[in-house]
Amino acid sequence: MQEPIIVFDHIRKTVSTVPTGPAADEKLAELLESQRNQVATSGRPPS
Amino acid sequence: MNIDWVIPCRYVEVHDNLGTIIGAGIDTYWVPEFPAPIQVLLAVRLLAMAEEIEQGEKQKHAMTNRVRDPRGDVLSEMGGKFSVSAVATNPDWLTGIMAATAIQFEAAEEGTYTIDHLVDNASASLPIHVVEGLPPGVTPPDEA
Repeated sequence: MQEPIIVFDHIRKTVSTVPTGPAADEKLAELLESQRNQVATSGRPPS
Repeated sequence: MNIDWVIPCRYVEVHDNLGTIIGAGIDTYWVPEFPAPIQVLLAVRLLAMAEEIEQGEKQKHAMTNRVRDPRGDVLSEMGGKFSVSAVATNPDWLTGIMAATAIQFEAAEEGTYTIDHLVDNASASLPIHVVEGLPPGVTPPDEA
């Protein structure tokens, strides 16, 4: 069984668990969508 | 309870107490402007002694997450209690517990932020660098 993700949202001041896998709801979609707007690297520019 | 490791990554999911980690080692976020929402996914592995989890849901542990700004001042701190439903394979062995965790905070300026993750009396700190602009060599999508 896939475990939920624990979310510490320091912007909305909430701590919650978000279901993942087949039980995923729009909260998980929102979580992943916000990440798509960022470029994240290990410090070394991507090649 | 102790923290074995905390790995910042693009994505992590946990099945059967095993983590699948994608893009481990992220520590730099490139943002178009400030303020910018930053989201960091963490693959967290905890270690518990048998007596720390033997009472299951009756046994509460503290988990706190704190974000500090580039000057080291606390931006935000939140926490809660959790319990572990696991059975130790051997009472003399440490039991590993995997947790997928997401942190969201707002970066108001460029610099190195710090994420402190605390479980009971253990803690781990991660530097997260936030930079305005795109990484060298990356072309904005509308110019590609």
